[in-house]
Formats: sequence, C-alpha cells, structure tokens
Amino acid sequence: MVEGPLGGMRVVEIGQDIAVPYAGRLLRLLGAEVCKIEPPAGDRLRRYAPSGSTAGVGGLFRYLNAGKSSVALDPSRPDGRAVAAGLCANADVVLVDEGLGAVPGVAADVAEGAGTVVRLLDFGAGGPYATWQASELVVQAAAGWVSPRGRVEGDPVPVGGRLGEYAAGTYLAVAGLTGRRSRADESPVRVVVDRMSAVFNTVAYDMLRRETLVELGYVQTRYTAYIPGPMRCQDGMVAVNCLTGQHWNDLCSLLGVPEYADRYVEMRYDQGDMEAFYAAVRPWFAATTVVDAVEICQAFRVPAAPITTGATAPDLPPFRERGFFVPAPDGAVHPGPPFRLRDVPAEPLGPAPTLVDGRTR
Amino acid sequence: MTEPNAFAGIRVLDLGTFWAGPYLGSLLGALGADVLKVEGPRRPDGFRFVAAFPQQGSRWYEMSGLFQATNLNKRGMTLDLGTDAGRAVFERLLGGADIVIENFSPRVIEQFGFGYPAISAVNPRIVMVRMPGYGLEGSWREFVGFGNSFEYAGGLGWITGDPDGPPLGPGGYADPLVAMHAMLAVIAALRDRERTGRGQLIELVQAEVVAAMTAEPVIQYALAGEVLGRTGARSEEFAPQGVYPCRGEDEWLALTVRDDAEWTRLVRIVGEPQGLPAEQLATLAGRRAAHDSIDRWLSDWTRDRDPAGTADLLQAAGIPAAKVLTPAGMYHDPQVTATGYYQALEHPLTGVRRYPGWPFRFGSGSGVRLAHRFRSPLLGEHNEEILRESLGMNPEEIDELRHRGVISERILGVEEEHDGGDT
Repeated sequence: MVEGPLGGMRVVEIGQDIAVPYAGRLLRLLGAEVCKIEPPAGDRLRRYAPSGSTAGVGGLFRYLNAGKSSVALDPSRPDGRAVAAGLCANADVVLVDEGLGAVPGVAADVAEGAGTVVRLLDFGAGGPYATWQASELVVQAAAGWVSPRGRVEGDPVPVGGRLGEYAAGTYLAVAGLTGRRSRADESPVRVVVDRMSAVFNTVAYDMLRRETLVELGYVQTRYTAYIPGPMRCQDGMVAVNCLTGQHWNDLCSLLGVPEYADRYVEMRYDQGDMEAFYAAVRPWFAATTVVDAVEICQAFRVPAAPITTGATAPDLPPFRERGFFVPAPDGAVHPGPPFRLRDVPAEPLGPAPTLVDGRTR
Repeated sequence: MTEPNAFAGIRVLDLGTFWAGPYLGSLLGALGADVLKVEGPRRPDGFRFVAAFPQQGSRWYEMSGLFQATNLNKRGMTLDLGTDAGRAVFERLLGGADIVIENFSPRVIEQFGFGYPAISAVNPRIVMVRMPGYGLEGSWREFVGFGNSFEYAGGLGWITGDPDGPPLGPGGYADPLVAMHAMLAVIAALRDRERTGRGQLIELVQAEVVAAMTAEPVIQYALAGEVLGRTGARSEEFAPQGVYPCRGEDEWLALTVRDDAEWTRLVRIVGEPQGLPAEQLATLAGRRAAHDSIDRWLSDWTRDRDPAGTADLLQAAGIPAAKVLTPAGMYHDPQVTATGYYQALEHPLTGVRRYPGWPFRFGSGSGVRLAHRFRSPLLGEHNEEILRESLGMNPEEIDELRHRGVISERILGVEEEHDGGDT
C-alpha cells in the first residue's frame, strides 16, 4: 500500500488502452487506490506490442497499470454489472471511457452511485462531430495536431507516440480531482472531457499567434517550427530551438554567422534563406559531438537538447542523475513519477494486476 | 455550478513565465482562486514578447494574444524582487498565500532569496510549485529549455515524423500538459495540507513529464532491444491510415480504416483500386503490404475533393475521418464553434478576442463548460488594489515604491531589454 496525499481515495477506472489507464496511473502515483474494470478478455493493451511482433507484448500495459487492482467483468451478465456498480458505489472518483477506449457494455450509468464521475468522449456530447468515429490520428487531425510541422514542403504528420491519449488522460485526471474537490456539499459531481477538446486545448493558442501575424503581414508556413531545429552532430542529433530573438542572436554569435544575428523574425517567418543558413552552420554541428554542442549552446543560454531515443533517454544526464527511470518487475524500465512531492516520497507501485474474473472476488 | 468555487479562498502568487507556469495559474483562477500574477517591472513574463512586435506601438508588450490567453483569471502586479523593498513586499504577500508557482531556471528564484526553505519559513502552509526544465539538482540544473526542447530530450521528437525524414518536434504542447500534471500535484498537496497543516514543495521537472508520456520506446527497448522509430501517419494496428491531399492549398484529409468491414465500405465509396488484388486487400496484413499503392489510390481520389465534405461522407459510412485542422481554420471549425469552446473577452488595448476555453464540462449530461472569469491583466494593473487591500499600504507608501522602480505600470528599460522583438 502506497501512502500518499491521496491516500484513502478510491478510484475506479473503466477504460482500455492509454487514456483512462494513464489518468489512473497519475492518481495512483499520488496515493489513491485504483481499481480497473476490464472486459472478460482483459484490457486490449495486455496483448499489444508496438512493433506488431511478440517482443515486448504487454509492456506498456504493465507501466500504465502498475500498482492497481483489477476485475474482469462481462457486463452483459447481471452479476457482472452488479459487481461493477458495487465497485463504483464505493468509489470517490470513477473515470469512464465511452469512446476509443470504452469497455464494451459499460458506460457511466453503471456509476450512478458514485460521488464524482468523469466521462471521456471522443468528440464531445454535442456538436456535428458528436457521433463521429475516431482514431488517434483522426482526433489529432480534427484537433490541430497534424500539420506540416517543421518543413515547408513536408506532408502533414501526427505527433508520435499516441500523445493525444496521454493528453486526454491528463485532463481526465484533473477533472476527477477537481470534481472531487468541488464536491463540498456531497452532491454528485458529473464531468465530461473529450479527446478533441483536450488536444485542441494545447494548440488553440496558435490562432492567436496567427491573428497577429496576419495583421502585421507576416507569413509562417513552418508554423510549429522553432528554428533552426534538429541538427546532425558528429555522433547523433541535437535539437536547437530558438524561442526568442535573443536566443537566435546568441546562437548566430556562437556559430560564427553574425550576419544572421538580427534577422530572427525574417528567418522565422519565411522571408529569409534558411537553406543558406543551414549550409553555413552544418559544418560546425557535423564537427561537434552532441554533448559539446549542447554544452556550448547552453553556455550561451540557447535552448539545446539531445534528441533521445528509447535506447538513449535513460542515460540522459538529468534522468540518470535523478534516478528518474526505474527497473520494473517485468525486466523493463519505467519512467518514474512526473511530479515529486518532497514530503511524500513516491514508493514503488509494484506489479500490474493479473487478469482476474471479477465474479470470483 | 459548483466547479468555479473549487479553489475559492485559495490565494496564488503566480511568478510563472511563458506557458507552463502561467497556464496552471489561469486554471486555478478559473476555478475560483485569487491569482496574483507577479512580474518584474524590468523583466516581465517573456510571453509578452511572443506573438507581439514593436510595430504594434509603445505598449506592444500588452498585445500578445498568447500572453493574454495564458493569464486570464488573474490580477496583475509588478514587483522588483531584486530590491530589498520588493522582497519585503513579497514576504508580506507570502503570509497570506496558499500556493506559489514558478517555472524559471532554478537559480532565478533562489537568487531572490525565495527558494522553498525561505518561503516555508515565512509561511509553512504554502504549497510551492517549481517547474525546472531538468531538475532542481543535477548537472543540468541551470540548462535552459522550453516545451520543444523537452519534447526532444524526453524522446517524443524522435518518434514524430516520417520514417525517411528528420525527427520533428511536436511544437511545445508539453507546456500545457506540464501545467495539468502540476494541477494534480497541487490538489493532492492541498488535500495533504488539510491533514497535516503544512504545505510542501512540489517539483515538476518538465523533461520528466514528457518522458512519462513517452514511455513506450524506453519500455520496448528494455524488453525487446528494439529502437522504435518514426512511422509518419501510419499504424501497426490499422491500414490504411494516412493523411491525403485535398482540393486547395494546405487542405488535407486524415482517415483510418480499423477493420476489414470498414475497408469494404471504403471501397464501396471510392471504387475498386485498379491493379491490386481484392483478396489481398481484404486483410490487415495484405493492406499493410500494399500501403504505398493504397495511398496513391486514395490520394488520387481525395485530390480534387473538399476535405470537410469527404470526412462527412466517410463518417456517414462509419469510417473515422476528419479534415486536418490548421491554425487558419481554428476560429471557424464547426465542432469547436458548436460546443462553445471559445470565450470572447474584451481587453482594453486589443479589444475583443476569442480565447481558448477549457475541455471540462460540469453537470449532468453534457453540462456547462468551465468558463474564464475575467481578462488578463495589464502590467501592474492591480498594484494599488493589491498593496492597499492585502497589505494595508497607504497611497504614499505605494507611490514611494513606484518612485523607486519597485513597482510600475509600464515596463521599465524596455528599449534596453527587448530591442529585438521576437516570437
């Protein structure tokens, strides 16, 4: 039993795949007791591996569901539904996916007796898309995350790694805790979050930027790019992204191309020759290691970071020094808690639950 | 509605800058907290200089839509924490505060003398949220970064993009997600305070938040020795899946065929793909093997079509599809418009703007969308109000602070500090 600031709070999650389980993981990390309700065959993520092969099957499931309890239920059977309703009635917060990650046959109405119930929909309860079918790609496309990011001529691509599901899960968890906190008079709290709004909420700010750019006559075809972007070094890749004119000015100084120093707005907004700039600075990066490139840029207060992979991320100095990645019971490596409360250190969550028939509990 | 009052009675001192910190303060304010946006009169929030340009006039630092959108629901004050008088005022404000937010490089707030030990010595009930890029300790403690940097450092950039192209930073979406992770920790810490009577330090390392949401590549490498790469818009689970060009400039359609039945319905709409054996395409494995050919067939079909109408057509057949939304279309998107996502608020210098809302709806059924309570503050707009009401200062004392440059309602030294503009 992990003690934490949410100790004593009971959460029931009804949802497969990533969004609801990630929300449950976040609450579990803060000390809540989390029980999963799975379909009879189990959360489909139990059988999933990202490469489509058998290697790594269930690895992501075990990360997202570490330290939870679980019951598998057939909601078409009265006893299955009764167990689900009973679990929800005793819960402080119930998280229910009624979209992409739905558990077939189980909707929020099973949680009528719970204090706070948060429903996750794909596109929302109303509007012209309310009944639309979804996929991670389609949600990202509808919500503004699919764009020709970083390349003038590039085809649009989504954000990798199904980040939209994590975004939805994060907002879902916030809705659950906010709902619980607002329940001062003990009346039921019902909250709805939808995937499209959760993703859109992170990108809608672009239109405010664009509004000003258009008014002032600027163009920005690389509209999510912070120049110069990924650069190939002697032994890997580094990302150098200038957020401000000062960053750009300093970068140009350290790279020995002062003629570009005062041209940030021009270069950022497609009025300068970026290819000529790249031709001038590529040799510097090609002759420099990633470690040196990052340290030199950071010495000038220019944001630069290595581009890590699944193999190299755990060795990134800040992760390694802080012990962020931890060994998992299944032999994998898991990211640690994304927040640290200094007075309540996180403890290992333990293994993910095995599949248990809920009627036998 | 009960939700706007979830944080009623909670006072927040928001020292946040750019996006992640201020966004947390804005949500707390929307939920009823009294959020005081504290900025340096010489070094205000850097977001004031993003998507704003000097040609917008002498007060261009008030014009940024990004700054305004992330600082709704707050009152604003200036305070030079580099001066003894500024620090003294801040200490007095700490006495009545519940939450302090900051997301500077770690040395900044500590140089002012307001690390957590100092803050908790003044008021042990305070929950302090610190959001360093790479940690409060360690060899990268002083390294700078923002959402894009953390997306690359945390592994997300590597898996975003086409297989034959470079890694592509998603675009800084980490910032609001970092803020939402912080929100969870804040609510938990306040709950803990109800039991213990004490606040605490919350450390939220922004690169760690990204890494926590990018677990799969690390897990897969540990379990299978496989380095996951970029897959563009394609999926291991579904085929075809992709983004296809449509009629017009920068017009695209995204679609996913999730199973064999959806494929059959797609073919019924588009017509049989010429030169591809139907029996091969009847299975996921066959469609994956022929994905390039299927993409060409679909592109030929979409190229002269309207993306929104085509999405409607496919959705009517139960096939997931959507027009790719670009910033140019965000104000007019039918779903966003119909669900009341935007909220119009009037700003004294930029007029009425439509600001992003929140993805939360409270109440039974679809409920009511959580709303913003009021517009963002001008620089130092509530200096007098806060100093008078919260600290009981008289007009002479406030004027003295203004005279000494401890507070200001105009940015001080703007010509020297921000002569280049940016975004």
